[in-house]
Amino acid sequence: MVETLDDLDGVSRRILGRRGVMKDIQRAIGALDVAEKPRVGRLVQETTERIEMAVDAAKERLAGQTRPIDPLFDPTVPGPDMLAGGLHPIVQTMYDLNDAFEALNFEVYSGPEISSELYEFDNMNFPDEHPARESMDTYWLAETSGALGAERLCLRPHLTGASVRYMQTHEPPHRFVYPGRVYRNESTDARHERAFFQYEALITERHLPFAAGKLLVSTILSTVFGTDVRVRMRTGYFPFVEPGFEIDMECQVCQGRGCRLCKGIGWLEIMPGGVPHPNVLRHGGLDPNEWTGFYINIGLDRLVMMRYGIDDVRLFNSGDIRFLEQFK
Amino acid sequence: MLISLDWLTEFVRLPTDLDSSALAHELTLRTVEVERIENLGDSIPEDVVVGRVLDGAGTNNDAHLVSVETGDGQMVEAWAHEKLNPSAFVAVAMSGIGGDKRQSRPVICSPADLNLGMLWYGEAAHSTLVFGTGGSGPVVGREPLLGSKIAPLLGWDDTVIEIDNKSLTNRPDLWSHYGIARELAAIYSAEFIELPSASFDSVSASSNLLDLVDPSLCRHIAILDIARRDGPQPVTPFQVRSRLARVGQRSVGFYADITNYVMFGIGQPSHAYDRAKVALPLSVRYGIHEDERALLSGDRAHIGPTTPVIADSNHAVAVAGVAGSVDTQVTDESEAVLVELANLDPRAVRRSTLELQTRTEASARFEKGLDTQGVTRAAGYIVHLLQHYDQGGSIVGYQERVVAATQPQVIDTTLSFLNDRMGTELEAERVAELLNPLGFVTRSEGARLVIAAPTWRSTGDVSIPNDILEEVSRMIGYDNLPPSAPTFTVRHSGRDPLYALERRVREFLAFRAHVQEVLTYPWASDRYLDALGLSRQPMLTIEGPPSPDRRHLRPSLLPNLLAAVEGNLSHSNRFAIFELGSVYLGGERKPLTIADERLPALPRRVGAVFVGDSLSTEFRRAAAAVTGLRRAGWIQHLELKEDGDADSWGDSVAALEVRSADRVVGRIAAIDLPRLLDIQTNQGVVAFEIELSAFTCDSYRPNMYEPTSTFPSTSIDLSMTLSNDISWASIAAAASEVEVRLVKRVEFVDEFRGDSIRDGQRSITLRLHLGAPDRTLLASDKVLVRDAIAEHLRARFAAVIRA
Repeated sequence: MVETLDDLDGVSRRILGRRGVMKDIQRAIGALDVAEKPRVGRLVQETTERIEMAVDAAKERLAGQTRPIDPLFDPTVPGPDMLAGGLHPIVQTMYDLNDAFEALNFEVYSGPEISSELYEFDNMNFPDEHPARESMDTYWLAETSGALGAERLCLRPHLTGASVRYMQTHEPPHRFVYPGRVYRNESTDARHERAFFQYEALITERHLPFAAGKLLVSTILSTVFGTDVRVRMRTGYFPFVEPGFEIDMECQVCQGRGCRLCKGIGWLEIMPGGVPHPNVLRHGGLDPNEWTGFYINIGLDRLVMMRYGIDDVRLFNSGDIRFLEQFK
Repeated sequence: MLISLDWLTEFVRLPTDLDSSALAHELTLRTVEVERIENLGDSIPEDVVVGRVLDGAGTNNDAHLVSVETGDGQMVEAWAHEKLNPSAFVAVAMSGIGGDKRQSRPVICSPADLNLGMLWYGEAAHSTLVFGTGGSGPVVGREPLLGSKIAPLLGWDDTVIEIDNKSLTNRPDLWSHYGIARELAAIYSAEFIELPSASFDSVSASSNLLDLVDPSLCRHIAILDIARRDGPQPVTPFQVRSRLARVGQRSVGFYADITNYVMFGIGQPSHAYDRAKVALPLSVRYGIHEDERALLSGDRAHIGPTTPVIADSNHAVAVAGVAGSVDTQVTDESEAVLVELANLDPRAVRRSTLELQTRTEASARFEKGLDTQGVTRAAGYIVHLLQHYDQGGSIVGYQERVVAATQPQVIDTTLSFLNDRMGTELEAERVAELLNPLGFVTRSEGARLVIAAPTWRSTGDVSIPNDILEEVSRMIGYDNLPPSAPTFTVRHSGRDPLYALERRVREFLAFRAHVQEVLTYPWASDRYLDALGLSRQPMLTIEGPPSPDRRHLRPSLLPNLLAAVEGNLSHSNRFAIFELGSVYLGGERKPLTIADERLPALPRRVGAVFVGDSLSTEFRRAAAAVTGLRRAGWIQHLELKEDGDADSWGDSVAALEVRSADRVVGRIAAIDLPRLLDIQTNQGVVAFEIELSAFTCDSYRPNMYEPTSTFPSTSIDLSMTLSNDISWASIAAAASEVEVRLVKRVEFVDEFRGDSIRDGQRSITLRLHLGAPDRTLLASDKVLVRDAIAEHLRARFAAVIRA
């Protein structure tokens, strides 16, 4: 009894193949008497057909029994090594937020990373002697040393300067977000970086009560944390807003009960915001008697640290794939 | 800034059931951020109690045991530091003091033992803490109860809140207990207690105390001339010392303590000089003589023509607004004292602190811009305190000069403006109720609201209607404003094409090419710039760089990517990373938003590095990734060409240029890491960098439908040997020129060089994918195509067909 398709194939070739037994018999018919040839020929033909039918039947039988894959195959052996690949965790968060704001009909805008004192400070209502203007806080370009205003250039220390660029070049009302990296000349440690991401949004409208600005806040936090997060608005001071706010979120580690992260207070300072200062609106080409608005600005590095429990901000710029590949 | 809740009670009567957490919460929401609450009593161990010495035997030099009564008839043997008077009330640590060799027994404590040394100055901090009179150590003026805790006797049962200084930058009036008390009075509708002040009526005005006052430096100054009738300067009252210590200020002597008490109490800095060491009159001016002075802040100040100083007739006696000089300080022997109170230009003080690289409690306040009327208020308060605490001293002279007084700001606004922005319906009376406790005077004139700010809020803090809006809304509480949803007009919101391209590129590289995104700094190290030969091009430099070798802004993404590769090679031998971001180019600048502002070129690029065992494999991965960008990025023109730029970064042979139409926009090249960076590695390294802003993209998915054939397709392989000089791109292009109707695609299969192949040649195997839209190809079709292409390649490249 033939047990495998391979064996059957061999048997079939030996009997039915071009050099098989039946071919030999067919060739031998030629030597027979003429009277015998038809009878023997029919017999050979019938025999051949019966053998072919038997081979087909055997094929059918064996096809149902034979596995196409080696029974010793080990399915737990891993496939070819494929590199992980992925987006930087801050970029992931930025895109998540962009998607959320685009769904609210906001535009995504980008300002230049090198900007001028005019846009970063003068237009932003920073006093002439504000500490942030000094080199200890801002990376000024050496090529523009001694220049002022539009001619004094720096790596942007914040995103807010870009808001005036947008207002100057787009018709109001405005609704836009403008994420990006900013640069500050300060010492680094586990909580401080010289280069970090901010995410800023601005609405300008003719009538916009402060409380409406909470929409921006809740959009950001629910996008990042996947759930509604309690927030509180409190007074804060920034030259480019009046009134200015600090916005705190309920500590997500202790759910507001107080822990080390929130210094026992139950709240974490998460983002500043406020109503654009009248001088900022004027620089943007809007009449502050007619227009108002609402800014929010959030540090993405800190938000992502909180979201994933990252304990050292410097990891973001480390280029270390052991850290980065953890974020899918 | 630290605020003592006990000190606040001098200026405000808060609800008796108010706890510190609730106070901190309300203060945070409405005025300034409270970062920390500390109950000072918690810092003193529970078992430190009042005891009375029963025998005073022993010496001043050696620790010895004395008998101490600690209440309820209990007696213990306790270690003493020094010889003690019998009946002296002392602080006894019943379980000893941590780390002390005598810790197994009770110890009679010094202030320093209890970390309370700030309450006493000099040796007293290390002498035994003795309560009541008759002790040899510091005296606390209350009759103690045996066995009771010592914190209340020291004022250490207080609670201190720490306020984030950043939240105070625009509020010079809040840098004191008095200012915070006024806010709390307004928040809780509590009684605000006006500052006690003494009259100057009996003091004769002097004319010899002040000389030149530079109006660019000083807007108001007053000098108090104090004579002492007898003896050394008095001991600072314990309550003053205790309060100062609670907010972090060590006691340093009576007059300095009084000036500090006034500064922390009401926010106006002042300074006391030994009158005998000062050659009157005093001036406020910039330095004239080159001079170096030791300051009481512990710094040495180089005085020059840009240094604002308080000067006597001979020298600078203080760096104005920062610190006085050591050689004019008041000592125990001082018989007469001058107290100077000034209102100084905040910018001058700030510049001075930057030059000196020092910042003091006084300069922190001056830098915010103080109310000039604070000088007069503080002078009256100092005189009040001296009358109260310095029985041996008297004010013998006073001179004041007002250069430019702070004027109250008057803001003209409307109720409708406030209500519109807050979403409220307030009446004018309610606005007045909210503002008046803060010192504002509100007047309603029809639809108008005319509001006068107090001088302490008129220093730049309050000047426009939005400031009034802030005051009213914070007093209501932002979270108490009516909830409101914004109403938008939906309109088309376009996407920046470059932003859209960047996202598609990032997601393609990350999720389809399996490359990990990294972010690096905008500056690059000279080491990597030099290695890549990028230092030859014009670069931008920053002032105050993170390190001297990182002063250049990156003109390419590759230097920092190579740095990241070097870091990752210590733990990985196969990986791929990319970065997408701006590079910063020196050279020509162009206007972006307005004509006056010309910015450097900041093209957006994507760069990547592939690291693996085989250079050729990594090169092909890199090339495949770049080729894939065209489809994934909706890029209209992107192609790879053999590279002709031998001067560019990376290898000159293993390189391809990336082109968009007729422009070179990037490069793929092998990197010889061991040679460039002098490091040991056998890994193949290939990089690419492409300028994304150079591409033109479709604004929608550029998909085209082509009917699929219902007939099967087939393929044939073709192997040939030909010269090494002939690139695969040329072979593929040539193979595609023949039988165009049937050849759908030419695929690279393999290449081979070895013993069976002649020098200077290689064997190439290609696969021709064939198909026809209207029929199944016959074996004869395949033979036809194969022969035609073989003949074409033979003719073009002298290729010898192998099979």
